[in-house]
Amino acid sequence: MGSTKSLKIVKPQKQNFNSLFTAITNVFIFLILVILPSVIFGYQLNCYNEVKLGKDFFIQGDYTTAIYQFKRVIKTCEGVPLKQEVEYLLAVAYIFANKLEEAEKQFLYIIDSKDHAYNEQAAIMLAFVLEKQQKLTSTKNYLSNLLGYNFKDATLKDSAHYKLAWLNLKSGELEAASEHLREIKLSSELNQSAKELLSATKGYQELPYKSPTISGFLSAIIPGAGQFYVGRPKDGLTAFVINGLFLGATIQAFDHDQEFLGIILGALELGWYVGNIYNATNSAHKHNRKVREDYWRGFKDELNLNLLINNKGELGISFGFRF
Amino acid sequence: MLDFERSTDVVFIHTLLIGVNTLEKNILRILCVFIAFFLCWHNAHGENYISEKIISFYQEYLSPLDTSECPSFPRCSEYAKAAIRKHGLIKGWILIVDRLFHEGSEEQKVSEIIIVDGKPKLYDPVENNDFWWFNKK
Repeated sequence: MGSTKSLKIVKPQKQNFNSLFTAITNVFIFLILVILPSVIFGYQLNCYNEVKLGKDFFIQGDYTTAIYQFKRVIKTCEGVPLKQEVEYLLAVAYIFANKLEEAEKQFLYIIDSKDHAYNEQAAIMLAFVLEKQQKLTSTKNYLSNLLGYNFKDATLKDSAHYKLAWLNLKSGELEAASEHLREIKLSSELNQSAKELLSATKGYQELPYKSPTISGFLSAIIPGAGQFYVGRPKDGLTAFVINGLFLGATIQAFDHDQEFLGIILGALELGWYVGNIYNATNSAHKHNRKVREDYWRGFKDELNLNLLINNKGELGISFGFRF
Repeated sequence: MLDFERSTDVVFIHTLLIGVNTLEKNILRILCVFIAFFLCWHNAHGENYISEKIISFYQEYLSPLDTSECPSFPRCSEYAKAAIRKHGLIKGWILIVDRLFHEGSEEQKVSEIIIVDGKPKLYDPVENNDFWWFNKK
């Protein structure tokens, strides 16, 4: 019997090493090409989609959902460059949703944040929020203070001047308005509009105003007369008849020795009488406001907020409201 | 216990009693007590509490009986509440009287028209009638 030789295959050590090396390399390549990009970019891509979704809600006019979405992005996408943009969009969405106090807080937060990309726009937009809250004195003071700030974007400073001019025009302060209009730079796109407004201030004083003092005085002498003066004969007649009736009834009550009834009727008449004077004065003020508004309506009374908010269209949404 | 007889309001009303007959005098005495009670309750529940309660009573029980509809928004009773809340009882009352006078069609010339529940209404909040003397800071 011949002896059998067992076949022993001995793998060379070098080959073992090579396969291990290849395996590690493959894993490494896999990590670099597949996992790492998905970890780094995948997170950002989601955030972009989330922001886009928020903007879509905004464009469709669903501001409440847009606000919710923007808040979600701010919470989840920490450190992403989009965050600052979304913080600004959130503040703007608050305005459209008529949540003015929240808008004010959000703009203040942006203004106070250091190196925020939307710092200057937020500063201007805050004036818009204050004006919408009917805080006219605060809006004027705020904008006046803002003019001392050195804006990187000169358009924003011109916008502040323009807005201040409008606020002064509407309240009848022509001198102050003219000063602000003259401050607007020639190169500014607001310059043409500012020139038109300046020339319009000349005709402003000749508008058909009604004096609130005369109106109130007339109604104090004859109830309803002030309303006739303001051009509201029906209101005047109502005031005259009601005051006449109550006054007549009061006199009659005292004439018939019914002091108790007389006191009650007299007290009610006093209310009607004072209310009648207030009504005449108020009507004159409202008439003057209307005359002023009608006069200025013919002029370009809109700031290009779209440009202010949407700086060069980079936010990807468009706005259409009046400042 | 409050001594109503010493209350300045009561003294003021007593001065008006000269020449008033006994029956009316008694009615006025009751009225004085009622006013004093009203003032105490008013102070105890904070400013304008009673006025608002009276307006709420009107809104709940009397307004439904009145078929005519207020042409303005907010409606007159809401306006009254807002005016009293903002300016107190006396100035608020003057604003309410002013609103009652200018509720007619002539207001259309100076106030905005808005659609509320599908109906056109004059937008006339308190701010529309005190803008020339009351400014929010």
